Amino acid sequence: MKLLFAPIERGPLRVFARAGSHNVVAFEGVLREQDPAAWLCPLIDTIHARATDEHFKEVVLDLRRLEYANAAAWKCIVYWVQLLKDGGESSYHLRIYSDDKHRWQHIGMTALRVFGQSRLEITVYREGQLA
Amino acid sequence: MRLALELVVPHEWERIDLIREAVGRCAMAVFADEEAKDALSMVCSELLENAMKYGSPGADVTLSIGEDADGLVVTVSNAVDEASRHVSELRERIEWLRGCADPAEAYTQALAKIYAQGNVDESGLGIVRIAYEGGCRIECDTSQPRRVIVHARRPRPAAAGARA
Repeated sequence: MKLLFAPIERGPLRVFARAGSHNVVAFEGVLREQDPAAWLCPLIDTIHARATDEHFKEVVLDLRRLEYANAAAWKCIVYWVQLLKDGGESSYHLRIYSDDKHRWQHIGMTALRVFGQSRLEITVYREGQLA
Repeated sequence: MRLALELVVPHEWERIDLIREAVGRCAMAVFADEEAKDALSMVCSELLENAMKYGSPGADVTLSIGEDADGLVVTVSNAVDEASRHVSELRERIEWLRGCADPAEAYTQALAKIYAQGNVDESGLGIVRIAYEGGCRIECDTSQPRRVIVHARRPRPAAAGARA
């Protein structure tokens, strides 16, 4: 199975395609760079293109082990949701796994739901268990 | 017990996360309150990021956390270049925030702007996040030449009791 992308390590952050799955993107650690869009938006573009070309039904963005992300990183997630809007009828769904123990995720996801409409699903965990 | 911190931070991006973690630990030690810990660490981080992004390159940034009669106050002070547009944009952003019915609505509007216009560089999302996620009232003092002082105020955690 071809990985979505090669693992990325940037200081306290690790981003990887989960082994054994074709569509899971996991973030772990802390994402607090000055300009995360410089590398994260191109990565999102790559994943989006692959998911669209290969007719994925869903891409999973697993943020449960992402302890903290700054506002600049949030903008990149909004960018991804925006790509879904522009992707036409054949586009995939984006499912975000979040964990309520990270308060920033709990609060931020509430606002993000407004924009995802039918293309965005948010699955909420609490301390590792489905909420 | 009360929280009182003052740090003079070199203009180095890598320092911010160390401070975010340290503030969180101090807040937890004083208030034993997860929400206050998360809020204060996030507020300090976002304010320091703004100060380093838009402040004079190389100039130190001062961070202080204290308490007054209204609750907790996080203050970040930094130098700005004479030609910087940041000061007026920050003032406008804070004024706009004050005019919004509630911080949640402001946050949704800020995300909507990014959603509509793409990954805009100066969306002001950090400041709006401080109000919404951090539960803070934000004030900006630009009375000193080439200096910006931002105060973010929030109530003291209820469980923390009266000031010692």
